[in-house]
Amino acid sequence: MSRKKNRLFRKALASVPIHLTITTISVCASVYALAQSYPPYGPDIPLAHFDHGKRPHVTPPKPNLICPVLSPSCQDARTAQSEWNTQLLGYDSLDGRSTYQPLVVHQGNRYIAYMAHHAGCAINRLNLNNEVNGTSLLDVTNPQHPIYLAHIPNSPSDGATCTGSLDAAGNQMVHVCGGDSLPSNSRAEENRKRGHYYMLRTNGNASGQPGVESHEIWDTTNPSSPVLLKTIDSGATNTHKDWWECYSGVAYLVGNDGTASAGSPDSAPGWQQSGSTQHMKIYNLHDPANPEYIRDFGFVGQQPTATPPAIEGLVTPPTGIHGPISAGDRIYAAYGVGGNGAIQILDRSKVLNGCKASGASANCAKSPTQSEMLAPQLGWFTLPGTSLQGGHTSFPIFGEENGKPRNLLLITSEEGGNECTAGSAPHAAWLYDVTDEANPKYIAEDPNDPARTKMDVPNGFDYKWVGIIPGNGVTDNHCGTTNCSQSGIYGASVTPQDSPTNPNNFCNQGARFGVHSSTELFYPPYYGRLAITAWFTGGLRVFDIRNPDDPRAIAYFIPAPNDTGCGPQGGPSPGPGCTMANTGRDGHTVNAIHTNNVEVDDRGLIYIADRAGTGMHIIKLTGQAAAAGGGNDNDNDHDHDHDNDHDH
Amino acid sequence: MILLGVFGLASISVAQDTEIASLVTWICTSAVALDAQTKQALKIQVGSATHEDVARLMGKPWRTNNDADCEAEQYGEAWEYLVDEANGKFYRIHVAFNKDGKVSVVAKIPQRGKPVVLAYIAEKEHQH
Repeated sequence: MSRKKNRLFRKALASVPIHLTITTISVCASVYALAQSYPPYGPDIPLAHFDHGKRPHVTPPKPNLICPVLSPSCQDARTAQSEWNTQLLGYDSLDGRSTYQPLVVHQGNRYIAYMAHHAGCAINRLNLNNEVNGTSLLDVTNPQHPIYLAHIPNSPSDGATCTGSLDAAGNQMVHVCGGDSLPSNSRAEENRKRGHYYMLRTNGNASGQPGVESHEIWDTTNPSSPVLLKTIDSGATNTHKDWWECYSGVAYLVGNDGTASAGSPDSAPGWQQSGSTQHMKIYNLHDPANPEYIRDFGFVGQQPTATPPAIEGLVTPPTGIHGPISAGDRIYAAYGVGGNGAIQILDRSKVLNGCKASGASANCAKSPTQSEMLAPQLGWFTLPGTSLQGGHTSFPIFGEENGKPRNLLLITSEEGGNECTAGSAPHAAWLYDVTDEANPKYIAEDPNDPARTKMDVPNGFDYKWVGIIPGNGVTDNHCGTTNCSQSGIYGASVTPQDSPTNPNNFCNQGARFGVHSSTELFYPPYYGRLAITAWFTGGLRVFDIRNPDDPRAIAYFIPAPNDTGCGPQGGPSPGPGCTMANTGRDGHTVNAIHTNNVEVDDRGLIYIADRAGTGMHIIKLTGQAAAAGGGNDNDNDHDHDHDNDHDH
Repeated sequence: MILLGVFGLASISVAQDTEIASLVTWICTSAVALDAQTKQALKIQVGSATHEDVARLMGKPWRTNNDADCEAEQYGEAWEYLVDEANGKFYRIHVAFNKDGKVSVVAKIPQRGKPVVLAYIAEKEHQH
């Protein structure tokens, strides 16, 4: 990292109270000497350079179709593999397991992909056993030839079996820290962790009592032979998107405590949420074998002693958290998932240390008072469309523009209904300017729908005949901005029988069409230049956000459904393909692509995971997208201001 | 009778659906060629059959899936059965359950082909 970047990083955080910034940077600086390349934290987080470049908005090419022209002999309206400024480098079927989160770690001299699965069962190619879905580990050092190393099945403690209930199964989330990055309290601890890698994963996912779920730490130093090291938060329910700071060890575990956790010293019963019932349980996992409980936290109104009505949020109790992301001395928390969304900006130090302060209530860690819930909060806001959109991902982008700090949040909701459900809103991705944290500002509005941004342009045939009715009649009660836009809704069913003249449509793929998530890691060079998102049947979508007030679509990749087999590389194996069917309205059933999540590695490769069991695709950017991701323009026909990001 | 009952449910519900049109063609042209697994699949009572009922009729599934996200109960499971057609080809029987644990869809998925819905029951739209 250059001195210039360090200086600009500090400038970007100028809105943060000075003493906290200095504290953070000094703490991070001492860790920096130990830091590995994964993942960038603290001063390693690149600084984005925003500009006012007027770059052309190009209508993306139409996706390829399996049947370009429907005929009596070919009625297959699915998308075939389609690229725009992208190239497929590698693929693995992941044995046909439904996959939530991809994560790729530069681990020693190898790149290891950790692919976190939804619930289910499939045959492990390595031992031919039928195993409950857990976590797949692959060597992707050569992205063109991924090597499947191991499948860690779901731990049986949650009761899931291949012949019984799967309700509580799955290991959807994963984070990895290196022992050389995690801080140590003693030389012995440091020696014990040296050269090791630790995987944090959720184990199980359901809301039922008594709570049979947990979080787990595995030693994955040898990714072909992982070893369970520790189970955390046994008796949990609703585990979800954790975050783990490798430079500090602090982990923000998402879940709730079930009645089965009562015997645990870190059990905090009574937290209350609407929708997805989950909040944060915060630990320090610097020594992964010996977790240190810090506190529970969430949105005011969720604490056990809260009484209705909630003083913030859209509903009482406020909607549960999907997942936090910490960066600098901030925590960005998205609530609501796919509805009643709210985003919260927190002072990280106050969250972590609030219950140690003099005057803190006796039960602050597990059951804070209202004032203790509000103390760390710097800002919060609801999303355009209010009840129809949720907070799923809130990814901070620290930057500067014209020498002044400019900080953004890339926020996504989650599409929840199959085939563009009539009466629902197309779930969106937004950019917010959070430079003034108490007054976040929604930017890059789509002039055709004020609840949606320019990061929603069609890629071929999105909205050719899908009617969007503007406004939903829902009253906003807090937007955090004067612009309380409301989202349009799908006005009509869009299954083939409704429009036999144009059945090729993303809303006609059996599954969901809308945004789900963005990348969450801070890797250069794409950080602050590209917004990289997963759009379910729309595949991977990439937007150029160097001018965040005028983002533009710049790339996409839509995988082909796997019709060949679940064997290694998707080759022939018993079975006619891996992609699972999804059913939309009126029994309309399609084996279609369902791109769930996306992540990048420090080589600039993009990994997508498929919810319908299609597998993992490794993608490289090409053309204008590669140029934009590298800080250059190669548009031939645009009148652009010279951007100021040539120092990379 | 069971076959007609299941087919009747599907055909009444989605008379315009292209998959059902395919089903009509498929049944009419290959009524005598129905394999054992498909016959069993057609016995599954959509709307009422449970996991146990399906296991009793079809045996242990080849692959299962529950892509529920934040709350598993919000969505259902899908079970898939691999059927060897003994000519080097395979197809899948796909059985989807609703969040109440009852079968909502039974489909036959041919190799490189479009799913053919054998039976389904309309469900209320869900929103995550």
